[in-house]
Amino acid sequence: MKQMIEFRRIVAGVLLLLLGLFAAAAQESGTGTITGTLYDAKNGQPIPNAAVEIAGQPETKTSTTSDGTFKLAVPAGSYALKATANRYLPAEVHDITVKAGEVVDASTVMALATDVTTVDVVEKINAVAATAEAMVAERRLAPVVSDAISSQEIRNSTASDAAAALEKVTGVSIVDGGYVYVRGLGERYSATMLNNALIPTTEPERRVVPLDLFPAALIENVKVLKTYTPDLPGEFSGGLVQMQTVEFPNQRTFRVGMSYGFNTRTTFDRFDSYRGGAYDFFGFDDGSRGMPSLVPRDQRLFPGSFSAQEFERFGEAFSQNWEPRRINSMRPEQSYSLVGGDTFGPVGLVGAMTFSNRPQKYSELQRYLANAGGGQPVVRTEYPDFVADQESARLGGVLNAALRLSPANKLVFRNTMTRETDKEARTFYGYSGSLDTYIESQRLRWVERGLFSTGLEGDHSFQRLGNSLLKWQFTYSASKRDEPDLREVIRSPNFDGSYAFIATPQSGQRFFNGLEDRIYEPLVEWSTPFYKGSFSGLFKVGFRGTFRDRNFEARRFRWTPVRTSTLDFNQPSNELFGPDNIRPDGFVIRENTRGTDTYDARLDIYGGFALVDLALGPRWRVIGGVRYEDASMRVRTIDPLIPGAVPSLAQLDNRDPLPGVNVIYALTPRQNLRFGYGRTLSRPDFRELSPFDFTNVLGGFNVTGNPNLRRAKIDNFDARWEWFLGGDQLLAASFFHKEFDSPIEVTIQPTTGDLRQTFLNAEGARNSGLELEFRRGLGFLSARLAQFALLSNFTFVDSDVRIGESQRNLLTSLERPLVGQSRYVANVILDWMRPTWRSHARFFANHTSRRISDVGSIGLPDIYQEGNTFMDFVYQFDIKEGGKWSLKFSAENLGDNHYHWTQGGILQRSYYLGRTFNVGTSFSIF
Amino acid sequence: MRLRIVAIFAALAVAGVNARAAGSDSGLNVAGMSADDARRELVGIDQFTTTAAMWIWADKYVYQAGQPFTLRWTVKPNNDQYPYTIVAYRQNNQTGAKTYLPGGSVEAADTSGNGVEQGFLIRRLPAVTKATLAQGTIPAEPGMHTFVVQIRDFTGTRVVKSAYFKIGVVESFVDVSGSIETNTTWTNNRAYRVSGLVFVRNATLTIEPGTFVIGQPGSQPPSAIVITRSARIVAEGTRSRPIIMTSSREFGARAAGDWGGLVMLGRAINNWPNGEGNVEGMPASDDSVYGGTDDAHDCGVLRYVRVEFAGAELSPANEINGITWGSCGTATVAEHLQVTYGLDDAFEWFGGTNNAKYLISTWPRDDSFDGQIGWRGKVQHAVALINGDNSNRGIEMDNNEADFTATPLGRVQFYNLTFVGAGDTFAQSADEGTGVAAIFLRRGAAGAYNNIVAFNWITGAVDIRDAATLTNLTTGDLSANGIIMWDNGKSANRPNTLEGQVVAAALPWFQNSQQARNVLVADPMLRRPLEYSDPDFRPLLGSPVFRANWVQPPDDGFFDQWATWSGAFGDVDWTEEWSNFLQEQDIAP
Repeated sequence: MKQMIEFRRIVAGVLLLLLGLFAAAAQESGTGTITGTLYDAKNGQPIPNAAVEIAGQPETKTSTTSDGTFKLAVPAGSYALKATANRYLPAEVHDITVKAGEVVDASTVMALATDVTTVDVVEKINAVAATAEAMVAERRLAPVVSDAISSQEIRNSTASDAAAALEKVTGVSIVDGGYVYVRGLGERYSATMLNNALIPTTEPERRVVPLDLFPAALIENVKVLKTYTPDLPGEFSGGLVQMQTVEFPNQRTFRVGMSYGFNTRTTFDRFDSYRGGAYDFFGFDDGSRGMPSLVPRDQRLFPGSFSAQEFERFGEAFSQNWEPRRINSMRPEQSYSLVGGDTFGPVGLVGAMTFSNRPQKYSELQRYLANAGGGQPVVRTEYPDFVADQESARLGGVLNAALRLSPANKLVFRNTMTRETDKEARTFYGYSGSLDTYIESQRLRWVERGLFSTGLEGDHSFQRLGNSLLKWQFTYSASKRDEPDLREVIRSPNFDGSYAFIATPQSGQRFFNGLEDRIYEPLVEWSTPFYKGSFSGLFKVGFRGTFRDRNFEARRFRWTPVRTSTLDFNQPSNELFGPDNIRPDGFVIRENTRGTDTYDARLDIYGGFALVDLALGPRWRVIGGVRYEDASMRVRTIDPLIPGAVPSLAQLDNRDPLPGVNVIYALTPRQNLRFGYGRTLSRPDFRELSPFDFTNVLGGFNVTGNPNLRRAKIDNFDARWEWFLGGDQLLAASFFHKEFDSPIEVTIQPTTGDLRQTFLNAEGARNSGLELEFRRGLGFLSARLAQFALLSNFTFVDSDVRIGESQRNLLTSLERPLVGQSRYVANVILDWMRPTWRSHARFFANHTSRRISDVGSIGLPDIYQEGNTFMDFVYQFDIKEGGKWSLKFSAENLGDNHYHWTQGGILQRSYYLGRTFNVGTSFSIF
Repeated sequence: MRLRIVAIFAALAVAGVNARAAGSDSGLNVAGMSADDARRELVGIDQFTTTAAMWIWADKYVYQAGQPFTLRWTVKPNNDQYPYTIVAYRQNNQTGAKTYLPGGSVEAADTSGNGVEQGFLIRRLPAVTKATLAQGTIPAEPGMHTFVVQIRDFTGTRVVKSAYFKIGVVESFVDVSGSIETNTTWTNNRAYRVSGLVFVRNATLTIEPGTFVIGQPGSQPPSAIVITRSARIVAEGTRSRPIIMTSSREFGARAAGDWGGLVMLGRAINNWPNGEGNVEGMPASDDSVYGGTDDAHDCGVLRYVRVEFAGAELSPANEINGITWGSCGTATVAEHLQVTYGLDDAFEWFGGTNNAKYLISTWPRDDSFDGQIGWRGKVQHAVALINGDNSNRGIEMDNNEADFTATPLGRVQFYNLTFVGAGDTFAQSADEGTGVAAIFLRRGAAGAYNNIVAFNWITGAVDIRDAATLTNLTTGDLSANGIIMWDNGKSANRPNTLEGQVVAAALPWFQNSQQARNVLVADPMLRRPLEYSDPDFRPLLGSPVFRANWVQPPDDGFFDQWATWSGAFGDVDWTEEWSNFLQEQDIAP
C-alpha cells in the first residue's frame, strides 16, 4: 500500500511536469544551443571551470560546470568554439552548425600544457570529429573496462527492459529472465547500482534485483563494469551493473510511445488466468488477496488457541476462489510510455512513465530423476504439461530534478519507482515420484515486486583548491515484494479416472509472504588533480556507507480434512473448500507457519578508499589504491507468533582491505594495453544464512540456509588490448583470471521426502576466459557495404569449482564448471542504416552454449541447460525526419527456440516461448 | 455356531426365563427361580466368546486427585443374546486395588450393584451408545489407573470380554522444552507437557510405566521428542501400565498432527552416500543427523508405548512420523507399540538394523510401516488398521529413494502381519491416490515379506512399483511367502483372484509357484476386523490362517517359532488392555 502511495506521488509529479511542458511549449525561439563536455586528454576526467567562448564573439562565453559541461545559446549559424583552462593547452572546435531549436554537441578533449602530447589532440578540430574524439576518449581513458548500452542502443533493439538490453553486452548472459551472469559468474558475483547507489533486491531467494524490473523507457544507459577499482563497492567479481535513469535533456522533450506485441504461442490462444481483483490488469491487488483482518497477526492459529467456531470463521474469511479460469483468446501484449523534460533556467526536470501488460504462456515438460542404481537415471516424477500462464504488469516512473546553483555547484534529486506484478495460474498433471501416484495441481499466484529509490546528490568544484571536486550523495532505496495468498490444490485420480483432492501437505495450502529490503547509502568523494612536471594525476578519497536491512515474513495455512468420509473430495475446489465444508469435522484451517518463516537481517558496510590516478610520462597511467570495508551482517530468525521466542542468530563480521590496481599503457594514440588486479568479496546472502526453507514444486528441491557460511575472497586479474577506430568503433581482446577462496556453492543434504538444497563454502574455484569485441562499419570492405556495420563479441570462459572431500558421493561432480557458466557466449549484430530512406534495421543473433543449471547429487549427473541461439530483428522507420515520429517493427525469438535441460542424456525440462512480433510507434511533440 | 444359539434358547425356554425390562437397563432377570437355579440350568453351555463389541472411555486421560470423572460406554451386542454378568471397576495399577463401579465398593460388585453375596445379575448385553456407566471422584492415588468393564459368563467368574481405559492420576504437570542433557526420569505421578523440539543429548531419558507425555499443539517447531545419536530412551511400560504419548486437546477435538511424535536417531549403517542423513523436515544439525558405522547401536528401549495424534508438519510438506527410528541398531528394543491417528506414517525406519515386535498402526494419514535408506531390521506380529477417513499403504518399502541400488541393501524381514483396510467404504484419496496397496514395494526394496494377511485393502494386496524392485524378485533379494489375500481392491472392482490381488507387473513372479510359495487367495475369516473402535483380528475357527502354507521364520533368537500361522494373530489377542483402537468420533461428546 505504501508503495502505491509512493507511486502515486511520482505519477502526480510526472503529470505536473508534462503540464508545465505544454505550457512552455507555447513559446518558441529562433536560437539553437551548443553543448558539450571538456575532457582531460589523459585521464578522461571532465574539466571544470574552463572558459568557453565563441571564437570572435568573446561576449558569448561561459565556463564549464563542476561536471565539465557547458551550454551556450546562439542564433542559428556556423560557429567556432574556443576553450581555455588553467594548465591546459587551449582547444578549438570549428564548423559547428547550429539550427534553430536544435542542440549541437561540441565536446572535445584538452591536453595538459606540460605534457608531451601522446594523443592526437589537434588544436583545431571540426565539431563532428571533436565529438567523436571525445566519445572515444571517454571510453579509452576510462579507468576500468566497462560495456555500456545507451538509450539509443536500447531503442534500436527489441529490449523492453534493462535485462534484455544487457543480453548483447560482451560476456554477459541473462539467466532466468532477469539475472545477469557476467563472464560465466552468476548473479552472486554481480551487484546492481541505480544512479550510483546500490539497490536492494525484491527476491528473497536471490541476491540481486532482477533487471527485468526496469523498463527500458526509464533507462538512460546501463553499464557493466568488469574490473574493480577501490572507489567501487567491493562486493562483485563478474560485473557491476550501473543503471542510470533518464538524463536531463538538452532541449525540451516530450515523447509518447506505444506498442503491441503478438506472441505466436500466447496471443489469441487459450490461456489460464483466475478471478482476482478489480485492478489486476494494472498490477495492483484490490485487497481481495489479503489475509483476512479476522486472522490475528501475532498469534498462530493452532487447535486449542481458538474455538471450533472461530476456526470456522477464519476459514470462511479467506478468498473462496481456488480455481483457474480459462480465457479462450488471450489479448496481445501492450506497452505505453511517456518521457518529457526541459530546462528552466538553472533547473532541469525530467520525468518518464511506462506501463505494460504482457501475457506469456509457459508450457513445459518437467521431470525429476532418481538414480536407479549405478548412476543410471530414471524418471521419477514427470509433469508432461506443466503450464504456468503469467500476466506481467509493469509500471514505472522516474522524476528527476537538477538545480545548477552556480557553475561550480549542482544539486540533483532523483526518484525512481518501478514495479512488476505477475499473476499466474499454474496447472500441471503427471506422475509424482514422491507420492507414487498421478497428481494434478492447480495453483494461483500473485507476486508484486517494487523498487523505490530516492536520492539527493551534489557536485561542488573548488577552483581555489586546484579544481578539487566534492561529490556527495544520499540515497534511500526500498524494495518490496508481496506474495499474498498463494493457493494450491493437488488432486489424484480415482479408479474411474476423475480427479479427487488428496490431503498431502501442499494440497489445500495458502502461503503468504512479504519482503522488505532497504538500503540507506551515504556517499562522499573528494578528488584533487595534481600536476608536477610530467607527472599529473588525481588523488581521490571517499566513503560509502551501505546500510541495508531486510524483513521477511511468511505465514502458511492448510485446509486440512478431519473426517474425510464426511467430505466429497470429487467436488470442484471452490465447492470443496466452500463454506459448507468448512466445519469442525470437515475442513479445518491449520496454520503451518514455521518458526523460521520470519527473519530480519542487517548488513552494515563502512567502506573507505583512497586512490591515485597517475599519469607517468607519455604512455603509462596507473590507477591504484585500496578500499577498506568493515562489514557486519546479522540475520535473526525468530518466531513472531510466540511471545518471547528465542531467535536464532547468524552473524558475520569481517574487515577486509581490498586493493586494486589498473595500469594502462598507450601502445599508440588509439591503442591501449590494460592490466588490472583487484581483490573483491562475495558475502552470503541473508537468505542463505537463515534456516528458512521453501519448496517450489512438489518433487522439486527444498532450499534451506546455512548459518555457518563465510564470505568468499576473490582475486581478479585482467589484461586487455583495445583499439579505438573512431566513433564507437572498436576492436578489443581481453583475458581474465579469477581465483576464489571458499566460494559459496549449492550442495544437498541427504534427507528423505523432497531433497534438500543448502549452501556451503567450497574449497576454491578458478575462472578464466577470453573476450573478443568487434564493432565496425563495413565500409572499409567495400563502399557498397557502407550502410552496414558489424557489432559482435565473443566470450570463452573456463572455470572449475573444487568441492571439499566431505561432499564426496553427495555431489556427483567434485570438480565442475561454475553453475550457470556457459563456455561460449557470442553475439552478432548486423546494423543497416539508410538515412535517405529514414530506415534503420538490426539483426541480432546470440548464442549461449550449455551450462549447468543444477548440481547433480547422489550419483545423478549434473543438470545442463542446453545451448541455444536466439535471433531477433528490428526495423525502424521515421515517418517524420529526425525521429520525431517513428514506427518500429520487431520480431523476437525468430527461431522459436527449444529451451531444454538435460540430465545424463534424459530430457529434464523443455519448453518453447513462441515468436513475438511487436509493432510500435513513438512520437515527439517538440 | 447356530447350533449353539439354538441350544441356549432351548435351555432358557426350559428354565422359563423371561426377559424383563429393569428401568432403562435392558437387563435380563430370572423369574420364578433362584439365580443359583438359573446358573445350574446354564451350566455346560459353551460361552467363551461373544460377537459383541464394546468400548469405554472417560472424560480425559489425566486427572488430579479430587476431580470428578464420568465413565462412558458403547455396547453393540451384535445379536449376542447370551446372558452375562457385567462388572466394572477402576484398578490402581500400582497397587492392583480395585474399586467397583458405579457403587465405588472395594468388594466385588456388578454394574447393578449386586455383590458376590447376592449373586451377580445375569443380563443380556444392553445396546447403548455413549451412555454413562459410572461417575465418581478420582482418589489421591498417583499413577496409572485403569477403568475396566468385563463381560463375564453367567457364573460371574469367567471373563468373556473386557474393555479397558487407561487414565493417569498426577500430582502435577511438568513443562518440558529445550534440550535434555543429563539423565532424566519421568515418573508416573506427573504428566509431562512437551513443547517444541526436545532434543535429548548425551543422556538417557527414562520414562516410568504408566506415565503420560503430552505434546502441546501450536508450537513451532512442533512438539516432539528427539533422541539424538548420543542419547538413549528407556520407556518400558507394561501391559497394565503403558506409556502414553498423546494430544493435550479434549476428547472429540483431537486430530492427527496435534503434536509431533517420537524420533530416535542412532549410529547404525544406512545407505546414504556418506552414511549420514538428516531427519526430514528438521534443520540440519548434529541433532538431526542419523547414521554411522555401529550396527549394534542402542537407541534405547520402547515397550508398551502408545503415540497418539502425532505427525505435525515440521517443514513444508514434511510431516513427522508417529515413531521414527533413524539408523538405530540391533541393541534397540521395540515391543508392544501403537501409533494411532498420525498425520504421517505410523512407524518409519531410516536405515539401521533395529527390530520390532507387536506393533499396531491405526488410522495413519500416511503409511503404517515405512522403511527406507537401507533399513535391515526384522518385524514380527504387527497389525495395521485403517478406516474410511484415511487410506494409505500398509507397508511402503524403499531401498533408497535417491539411489535405488544403494548398499547395504535394505533387506528387511517381516513375519506375521495383518492388514485390514477400509475396503469399499473407501471413496476418495486421502493422500496417495489410487496407489495404495497393503504391501507397496519400490525403489529397489528388498527383503522377505512372509506370513501376511491382507484383507480389504484399497487397491490390492501387493504392488511392486518399478524395474529395480522387480529385479530384486528375480535375484531373490526380495521374496513374499505365506500371504493370504482377500477382498483387496474392492473399490477398483478387483476380483478375488491372484490377478486381482497382485499388481500386474509382479504377477508373473507370483504365478510361478517355484518362486512364490504358499500364496493364497482366500477369506482369512477374522473375527471382527471391521469393528473399528473394538476390532478383533483373531481368526475364527476354520480360518485358513492356520492351514495356509505359512513359512517358518528363521530361528535366530528374535523370531518367535510358535507363531504357526499367517497374520499377526493366532488365538491370543496381544493387543488386549494396553492398546487404544478408539475412533475419535466414537467417543466425541
